[in-house]
Amino acid sequence: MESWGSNVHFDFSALYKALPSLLVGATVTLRITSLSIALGLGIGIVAGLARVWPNTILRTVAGAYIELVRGTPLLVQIFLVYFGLPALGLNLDPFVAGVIAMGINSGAYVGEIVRGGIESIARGQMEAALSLGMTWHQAMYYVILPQAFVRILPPLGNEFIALLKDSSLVSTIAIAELTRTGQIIITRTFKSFEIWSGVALFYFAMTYLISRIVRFSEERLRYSE
Amino acid sequence: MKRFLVPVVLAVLLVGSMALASTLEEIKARGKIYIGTDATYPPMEFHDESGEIVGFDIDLGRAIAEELGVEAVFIDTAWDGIFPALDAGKFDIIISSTSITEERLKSKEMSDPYYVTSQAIAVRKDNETIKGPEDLKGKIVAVQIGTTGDLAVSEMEGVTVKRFDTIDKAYMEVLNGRADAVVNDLSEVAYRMKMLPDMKIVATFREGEEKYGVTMRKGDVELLAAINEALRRIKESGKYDEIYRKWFGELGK
Repeated sequence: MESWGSNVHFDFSALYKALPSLLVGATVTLRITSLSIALGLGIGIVAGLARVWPNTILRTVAGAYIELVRGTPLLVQIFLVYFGLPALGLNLDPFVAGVIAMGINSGAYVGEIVRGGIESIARGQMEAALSLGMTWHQAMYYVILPQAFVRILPPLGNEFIALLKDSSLVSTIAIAELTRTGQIIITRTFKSFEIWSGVALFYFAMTYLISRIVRFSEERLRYSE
Repeated sequence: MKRFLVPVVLAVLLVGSMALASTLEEIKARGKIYIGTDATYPPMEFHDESGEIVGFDIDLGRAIAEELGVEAVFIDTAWDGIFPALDAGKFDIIISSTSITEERLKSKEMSDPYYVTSQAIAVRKDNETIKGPEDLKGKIVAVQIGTTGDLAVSEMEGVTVKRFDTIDKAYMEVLNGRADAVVNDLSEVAYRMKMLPDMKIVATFREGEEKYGVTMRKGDVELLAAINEALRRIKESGKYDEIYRKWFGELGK
């Protein structure tokens, strides 16, 4: 029988017993985050390029998407996709709904990062490339984007880390990821401090991994410059 | 734009018409009944140490599925989204210690009661001021959002209600001294007291008024009849008593 005293004593054996379940939860978190990152990157690159494309309609549509998504909470977006879309006949499984909501959300931030990276490259370079007889598309592809990519990486890494942490929000649509797994264990054991500490450590291990990977790719790219 | 609209409208109509097959027919056709439950509520529905969903409602759900000749698949869902998820078609029925109330009957179908309990008030062992519901005036009461405990204290005058998404957080709030009492179904509180030696039950009210039913979408009357029939047979065959003994021992209700 578990006991919980007001004369608090910590019982980390509860955490030890919970480790296998938390590990399973962490892999769900990793899976949903990496799929969302992939979706967000795809949407974000398109949206970011559209923002600087010499076409007013594209720019406006991409701008509206980015403002709308950045201006509303991810939690509301998750509820809208999971609980709202069935009203339009689109009934998604929680995991799919989570990936779609997080991917669309991340796409807006990635879009801004991509746009920022492109615009950070001196305007003179585009003009120089154009005057050398390149088309706008060639200049973008051969001159601007390769340089922008290096500048985009660090903020992109931040976005991935933020998204991994925000994935805890999908626990509200009962996806048994890391946070929900921790909650479920606490409803049974009441070991809040021990379990939440363990959950935090798992998150930290994952975000640290991402930050190392981003740092590594940054260095690789610098050398190749 | 109009060219776009036509296929969209057709698609919506198509999906809508597929939904015309009754839920009971769908369940039989797929051989599975999807049951939504918030598995944070021992001993009715919770995760055991291996992470498996177990409990009184879970065994009852399996027995109902067996009567219908299908397999029970439980879908763990957060309580605060469980009714919208049912309406959105995420599962066929809810079995999750859901009390039958007038309000819920307006938008849902609910089966005959399969379990009867009361509301219980639990406080810290050292609390001597709260003896009954009338003593909650001027106090802070912790509940789980949208439960009948929440509804009961929300109606009381002068009570500050703190609502949490899962019930364990309400107990934690009292243990940490940030609320004075928890009000929740006796079935759950009684079990919880075994894990929380620093808390006690001081009173019960709404005696026998908490009647749990299986919840279905409004209009699923065929399914409602089938489930009521299944419940009747489960009680007659002694299966119900077997499940009851497994989770509550020989103790009174």
